Amino acid sequence: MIVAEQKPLEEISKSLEGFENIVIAACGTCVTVCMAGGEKEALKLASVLELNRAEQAVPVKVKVVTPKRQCDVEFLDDMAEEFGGADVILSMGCGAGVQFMAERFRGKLVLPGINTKFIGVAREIGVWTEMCQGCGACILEKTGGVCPVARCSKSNFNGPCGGSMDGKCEIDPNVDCGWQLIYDRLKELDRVEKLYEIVEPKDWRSSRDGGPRSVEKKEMRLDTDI
Amino acid sequence: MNVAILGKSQVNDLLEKKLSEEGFTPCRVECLEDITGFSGERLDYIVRTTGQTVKVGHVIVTEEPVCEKPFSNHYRVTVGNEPVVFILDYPSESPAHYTVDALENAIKLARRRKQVFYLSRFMRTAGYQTENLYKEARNAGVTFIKYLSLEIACDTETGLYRIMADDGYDALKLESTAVIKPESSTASEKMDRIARLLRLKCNEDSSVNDDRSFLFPTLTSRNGIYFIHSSTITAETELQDRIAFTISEMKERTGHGLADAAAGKEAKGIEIDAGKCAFCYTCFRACPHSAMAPDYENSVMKNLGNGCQTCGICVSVCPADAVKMKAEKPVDGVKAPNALKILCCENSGKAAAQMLKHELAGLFERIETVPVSCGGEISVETITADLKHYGKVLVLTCMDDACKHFEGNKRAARFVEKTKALLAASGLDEKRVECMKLSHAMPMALRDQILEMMG
Amino acid sequence: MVIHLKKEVEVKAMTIEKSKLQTMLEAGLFTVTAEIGPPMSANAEIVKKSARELLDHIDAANVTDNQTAIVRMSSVAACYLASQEGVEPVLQMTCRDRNRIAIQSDLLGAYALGIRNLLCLSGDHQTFGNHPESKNVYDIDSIQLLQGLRKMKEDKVFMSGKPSKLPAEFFLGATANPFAHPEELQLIRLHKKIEAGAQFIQTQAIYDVEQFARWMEKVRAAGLHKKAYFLAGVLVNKSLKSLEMTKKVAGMQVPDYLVERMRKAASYEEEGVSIALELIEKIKKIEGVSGIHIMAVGWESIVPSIVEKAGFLPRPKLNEVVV
Repeated sequence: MIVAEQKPLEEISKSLEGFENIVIAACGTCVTVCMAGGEKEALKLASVLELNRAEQAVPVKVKVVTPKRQCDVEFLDDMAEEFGGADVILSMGCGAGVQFMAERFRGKLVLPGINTKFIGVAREIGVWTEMCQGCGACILEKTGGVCPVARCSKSNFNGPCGGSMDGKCEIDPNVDCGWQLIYDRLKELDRVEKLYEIVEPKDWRSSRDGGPRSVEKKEMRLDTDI
Repeated sequence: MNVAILGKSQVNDLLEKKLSEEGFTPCRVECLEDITGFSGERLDYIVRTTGQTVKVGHVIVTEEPVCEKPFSNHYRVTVGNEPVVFILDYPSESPAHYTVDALENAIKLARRRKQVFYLSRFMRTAGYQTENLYKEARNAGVTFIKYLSLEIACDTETGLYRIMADDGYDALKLESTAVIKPESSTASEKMDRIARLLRLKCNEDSSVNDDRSFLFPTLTSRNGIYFIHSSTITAETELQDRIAFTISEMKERTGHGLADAAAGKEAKGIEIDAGKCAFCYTCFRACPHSAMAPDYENSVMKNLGNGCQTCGICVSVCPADAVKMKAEKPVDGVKAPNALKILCCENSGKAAAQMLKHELAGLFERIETVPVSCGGEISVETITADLKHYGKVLVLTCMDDACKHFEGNKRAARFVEKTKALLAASGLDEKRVECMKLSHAMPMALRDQILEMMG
Repeated sequence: MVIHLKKEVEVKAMTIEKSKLQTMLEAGLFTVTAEIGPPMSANAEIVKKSARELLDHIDAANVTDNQTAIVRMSSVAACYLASQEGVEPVLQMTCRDRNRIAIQSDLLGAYALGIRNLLCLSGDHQTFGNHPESKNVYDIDSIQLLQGLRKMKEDKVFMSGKPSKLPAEFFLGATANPFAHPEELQLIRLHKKIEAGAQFIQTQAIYDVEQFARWMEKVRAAGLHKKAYFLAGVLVNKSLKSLEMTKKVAGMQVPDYLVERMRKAASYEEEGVSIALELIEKIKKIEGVSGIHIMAVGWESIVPSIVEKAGFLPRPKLNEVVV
């Protein structure tokens, strides 16, 4: 899932300065699960904003709405009425959600409430780690199901750098060396000999380096003339 | 509703009378050896004895722990440099006067620069008389150790004891002839048997360490099972208080009193808004009682009523705001900018706050106390929402090791910290919210905290 | 037509020209190399001075590429400045800051300036440097770089496969860390580096000679010492603090007794030198070691005296080397 983190309160408050009618749009999917932008977080933020404005004697009305997803237009359509009187919309969705909201509600200023971080997993409650960078050309079959692009700090394709020490990355002793993980995994699978193969330079066009990407599944398109 | 009273005690008559007055039907089983079986889940238990089988809603254990004669009567200090070791091997609270006596002697010895160890299986919460004794003993340098297992070997010729106490982290080894302990261990065995029978002890696959359960006035780790001992109580009025507390708990847990239960009103419980549930498993992972389960058919989480102790941890952790408590909290209606809201854990803060209501009657006009099942029910979101209506919020939770819902207390403390950080970040006074860890027997400390917050 | 032919001849002569380092190693001569750290400024004189100090004491000098991710003068430019002073440079090129376009372009330029030795590295992560906020590139890794440059030599093509009439044909080097774990994985990586095109291997600084000797045994067992020249790294520490800092660096293994020895020494500088000399004495005897690479970070001026005390002088002149 998409893992995100709420923006610092100071930054959010500052971006909302001067607006009276604020609608906070939580998002009910990924960012709910990673506790960055779900309804609970939105309600909390709403309370703190109200407290803050009350202290400064500046009037404010904060409303919280939670579409199931901000990345499908029907959920946004359902919410359209709620946004009617809003001076500003604070989207707690991922980067996709904020932009899609801005597209859907053209006349409204839509601000981001969270920082979108990565595609990752929940290690335990309250801890998420990066697993995938969306590079567009998966090579996990070569690396025992551990991604060197996302989990090696240098995205090395052919083994660890000299800074790998005791299974940890040179940049931070709390970060696992991705290549140690790959090695351990292939060892378990008795496939270490796979590592002798020199992996050729990657074609990064499949990644963001090739420009904004889109995926088309033609047979699914409603317009059958395309 | 039937209520079983298990064990022989001088409390039984009084208890039976009070229960009958409140509309319960007491059933006494005085000889614990008669009990052959115990089954069922909360508020729906079956007690089997050699003579009969009874269905009961609640169970109160009144068997008294064995009480030795006081130390001062049989112990004279003649020791040299060896450490003095007090051992209070009771599975629940040690008898009150025995405890007081042990503490007083420990303090005396420690003040004479003796090394004093105070070993107990159960950390007794401080009562009115003992609160200061514990403090004095600590100041005098008495070392308190709460152990999980204890091995004692005594050399009959020299009278030297070899003691090994294990607290689960470290094993302490002591050698001394100056060992002071109850002569027999029959009380422990009897109590251990009943605890096993009622499944109050931790078992290997249980996620809750039940040995914390005895820390509360009368509550245990299982819903609907209570302990009341007269010998563990230091003040006479305390017994009355404990019985009253137990009965009010029984009523609350049954629903909004017996009449409500009879009228078919729902008991306290957890409900999940399927529309909001993100099926993220957070509540499933956080629940200390394994009472959440996936409902694959509907792709949502569901609450298993039987295991659920309504501690509310699932409510506080749910990121989708989908999990809610069914029963509404009573509201006194004192919402005001100069009012204080006290969210009190029903296992500690609730009783402590209750004791202050007369003393601080004037202040309590501006205080709303709301009992919660556990500090774990509280979240940053609920605290900030409360701050919109109250000047200040105080969260009362159990002492560190005392939470019976797997550290809901520590969770609450963290949420309060986070709330403080948010307040500070938005230019507000972070002292508007405080968290305090206490036991039911620490009203004085609570009074100081309230006075500080109310100015 | 004639002019054109002449040009072709010149070109050919240029491409087969080998570096002194390569020539010496191929002749079986023990080499001595050191390092020049480019300055954090545009001051050419600093590089030239370093080069002059090393002249006639070493066979070649590595010129680092924004070492520890701290911005310094371009290693290509510094290599050129060193070569002007008569010191043969070994260009270091990391994968951290340049994509494959920039790397190949810089290497063409370096080759055009007469630089012949190249050490390919992945590079210290930018979070260690003075621009931790920068984007890292890592378009290709060091093995992919080596492989690309070998193909450039053998097939006269760029990494894209497109031909070049006169590509850069470097004497290719790579690094290896004898102390990194897991050993098997590190040896696989060494295998790959040599297979990809590394002709010489420069090791991480050695303090634990026994461990290094065991590692060399494995290298010999795999026959890798026949496929590439191993240049053993030796670091010279000026102070106890520097030794302690070295011990903390990821991938370094400094035995405690050396730290203890340094701590007790009357003069840290003298002790640092004698430790380095003892290490060199032991390391050079290990079978498969073809040269010593002296690293004196922040104390470059000590290198000539170490070379002298180690008995490495005089260094052979290129015209004396018999292939």
